[in-house]
Amino acid sequence: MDRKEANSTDILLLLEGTFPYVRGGVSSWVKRIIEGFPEYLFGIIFLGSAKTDYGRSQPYALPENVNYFAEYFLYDEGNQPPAVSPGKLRLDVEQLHHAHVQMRACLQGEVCPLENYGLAENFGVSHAEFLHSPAIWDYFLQRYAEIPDQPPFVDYFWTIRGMHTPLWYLQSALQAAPQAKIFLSPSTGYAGYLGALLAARQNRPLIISEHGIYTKERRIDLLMARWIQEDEEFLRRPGQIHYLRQLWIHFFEFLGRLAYQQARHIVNLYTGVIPLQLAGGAPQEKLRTIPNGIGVETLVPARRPFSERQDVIALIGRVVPIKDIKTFIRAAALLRQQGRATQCWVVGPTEEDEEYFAECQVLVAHLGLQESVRFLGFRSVVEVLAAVRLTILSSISEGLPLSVLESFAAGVPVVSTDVGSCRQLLYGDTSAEGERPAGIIVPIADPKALASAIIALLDDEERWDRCSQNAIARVESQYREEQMFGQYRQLFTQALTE
Amino acid sequence: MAGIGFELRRILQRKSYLAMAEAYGYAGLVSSGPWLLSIFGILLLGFLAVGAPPAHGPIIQFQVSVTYLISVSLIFTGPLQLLFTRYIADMLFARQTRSVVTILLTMLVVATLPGALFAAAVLFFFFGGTPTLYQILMGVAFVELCGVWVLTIMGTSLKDYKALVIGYLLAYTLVVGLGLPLGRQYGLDGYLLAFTIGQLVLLLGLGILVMRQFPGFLQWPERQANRLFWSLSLVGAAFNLAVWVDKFWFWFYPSTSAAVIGPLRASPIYDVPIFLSYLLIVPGLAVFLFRLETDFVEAYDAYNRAIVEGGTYGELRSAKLGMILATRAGLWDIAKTQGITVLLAFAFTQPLLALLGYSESYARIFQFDVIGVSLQLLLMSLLNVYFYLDLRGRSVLLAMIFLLGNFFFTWVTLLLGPFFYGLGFLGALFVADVLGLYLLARDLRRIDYLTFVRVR
Repeated sequence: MDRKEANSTDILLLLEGTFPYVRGGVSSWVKRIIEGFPEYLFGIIFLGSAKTDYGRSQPYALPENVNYFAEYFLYDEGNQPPAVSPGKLRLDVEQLHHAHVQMRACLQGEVCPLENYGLAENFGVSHAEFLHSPAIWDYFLQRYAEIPDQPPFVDYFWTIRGMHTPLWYLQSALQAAPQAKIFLSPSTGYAGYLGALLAARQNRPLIISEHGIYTKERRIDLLMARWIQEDEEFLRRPGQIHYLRQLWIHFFEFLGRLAYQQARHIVNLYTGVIPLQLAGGAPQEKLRTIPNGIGVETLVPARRPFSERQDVIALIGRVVPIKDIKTFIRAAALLRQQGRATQCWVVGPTEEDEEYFAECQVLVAHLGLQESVRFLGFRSVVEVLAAVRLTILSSISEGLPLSVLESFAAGVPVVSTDVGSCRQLLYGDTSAEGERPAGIIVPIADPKALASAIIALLDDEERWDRCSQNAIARVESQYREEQMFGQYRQLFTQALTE
Repeated sequence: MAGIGFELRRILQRKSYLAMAEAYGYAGLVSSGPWLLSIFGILLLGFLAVGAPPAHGPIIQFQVSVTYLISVSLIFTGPLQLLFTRYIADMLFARQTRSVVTILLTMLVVATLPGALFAAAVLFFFFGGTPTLYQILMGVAFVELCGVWVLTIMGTSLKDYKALVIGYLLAYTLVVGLGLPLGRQYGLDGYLLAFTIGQLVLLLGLGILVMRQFPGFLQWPERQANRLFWSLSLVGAAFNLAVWVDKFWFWFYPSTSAAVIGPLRASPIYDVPIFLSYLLIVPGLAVFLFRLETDFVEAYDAYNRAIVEGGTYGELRSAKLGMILATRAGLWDIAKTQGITVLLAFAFTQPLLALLGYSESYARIFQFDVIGVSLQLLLMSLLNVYFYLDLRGRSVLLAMIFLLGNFFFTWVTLLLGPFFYGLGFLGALFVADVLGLYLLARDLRRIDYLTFVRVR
């Protein structure tokens, strides 16, 4: 997208892998926040992986009140700095070593002083120097030698390179960023880290409004990553994690801690994540909970009684591993085995992880479900919710999923895995399970449980009615957009007057 | 295709001195075969023809003409040689063998079409006084040679030395066999006709050999897979030019040369010793091929395996040490072999010259040249190691130093007088070698840094 320049803005959003390129829960939240506060000017710094990763998806149009937009692709290989003759590269490696020691202390819970810490300047090391300086190479070797259980050197080398390369893109983002009154990031990670550096430099408050727990999501990614060469070790110690995976996990933990430390407020969507945030280094007094809200009214037309709906269930979400679409497909196979003609839709963009999408299609073909499972791509949520009898969520990780709230607003009960705030959403705050249910909670990665929950709701219209009523009541009382806006308005005005 | 290294190992596995001698002999033959046969063929034709009295003039003209043809065509195709060698090596590595024939034909066109234009222009502007038939034969031979060098490079990149040697043997047998009767009948034109026929046979023979090994289609290899490294073009041009620049000085410097035919001049005082001494690098070349194709390549592969297959830095370091040792051993062996050759050549200079019927006045230049060509072999070894290490900048530097050094030092020796003739060539190579050895020692010590950090 084209750059949009401004010297100053009110709220600078730091967005990593989401709005305006990627569709999903966080993106629509960002869009609603921008459009919900027309009185403020917004700036956006988008951080992406490689530019080519976002080529095919149609980006959101920027709302009127966005006056700054810049994008940085942290893993782009194209623009490497030119090689410099090593003679020119004399570096103070001592200082770097000291910084690394300090970072490790920070991971143990000590305070990392952001000011005078050199992070914003990458300790005066330029990207070219990092890539070509013999001193840095020697430091590589020195640190590698200290590892007790040495990974392949070539992997170590490229891991460290890959881990550090984004820092210089972030540095240029930092230098080019406009003056802002508030920095707002919906995640920790690189975006939160950049937010922390900006907030420290401009001495303005940083708000982290965490949708998923970034560090945990990266941990899942990394544990699933196949690119890390790992020897099949005989009798591996239980719980032992490959050194390079551990290194990445520590890296993201460190970024997270730094952002938490610098943030004025750390917002979560539901109380369930507070222990994780505390464990990630968030101070208790900065935490507050603002649940997602939705515009209930737009979905009222989708409310229909059971009998007027088709025999269809839908999973609304992106086709990515974290949504565990495969479990949904396996549950569809079980429904089919029982002789049911129930249609199973997957509604959401498929291009984000094409390899996973292809795997899903193979699974559908393999199980002979071409008739009953359909990938619809991106569709109007109102239309889908007016047609289906159940919404399914098979994710292995979630925050407070918008699709559940939308489903509730349309009076569609939900069968969901026990992740994020789903239990709270489906069963209410009351601990007495099933007192006012709006659906059924099942364990993750359990197609059998998922299938029987679906059948239980589809075969019991009375139960379906009760869930539908509870769903509407819950979303209208607790998860209205106005409530969310109200709390953010208070947060913003407070931060602006500081 | 089993590489030459494999065959050498097979011979050596019999573990006897005889086997060792056989292996070195074989290496010597295949590495030096093509040019050795060329020189022998031309010289032999001369020796045999001299028996017939009126042939002396034409045979000299013929030898000088061929020398020019070879030198200019080598320089002319120099920029192509390494460029395509590398490109084809990359293609073979990526297993795109189907497209080899496409590249081969492209090379032939790129070499011969401009070659023909160049030959026509040179003949038109400089050869006005010579007979038309002579001009035609020269032009044809030049274009043929351009094609032959391309195919020879190709055969060398494919490590198909045996086929090369057979091809050259056939072609030059034909040149000598046809040259004697044709030359007796038609003089210079007859010799040249025999040469052109021989080159044509060589061209076709090598072409068939290469195409039979890599049958394929006319299709371009996938674009992204391979790159053209233009710096290699520069190395090829500089090196070939450097090898000949001192000869050209002597050919065109008035006091050291005489006109032979048309614009072509020769310098008997310089030519005889230097061509003689080139025959004396055969032992060194054998060692060079043997060491480079077996020990060094093995160590080099082991080093790359240690990186790619996920070795720890410790493993990588021992592989690196192995590579340093192999390089050192190889260079030492070349130095020792050529050292002994030089000593023998010094000891037997007088009898050798007498035996071949040359005047004793060639002795000093011959001795300088023997050292010079040995140093040239060392430089070729250094360049080869650098090609493997893919440090192209170093190759450019060394080739340029050789070129500039040979140009200026030779000029200076011409000014200083006959006592110093041959010293320019020697001096240039000495400087290039000393620098090359110094750099190589340094680069190998930090080759891991270079592999990871400097090379893209």
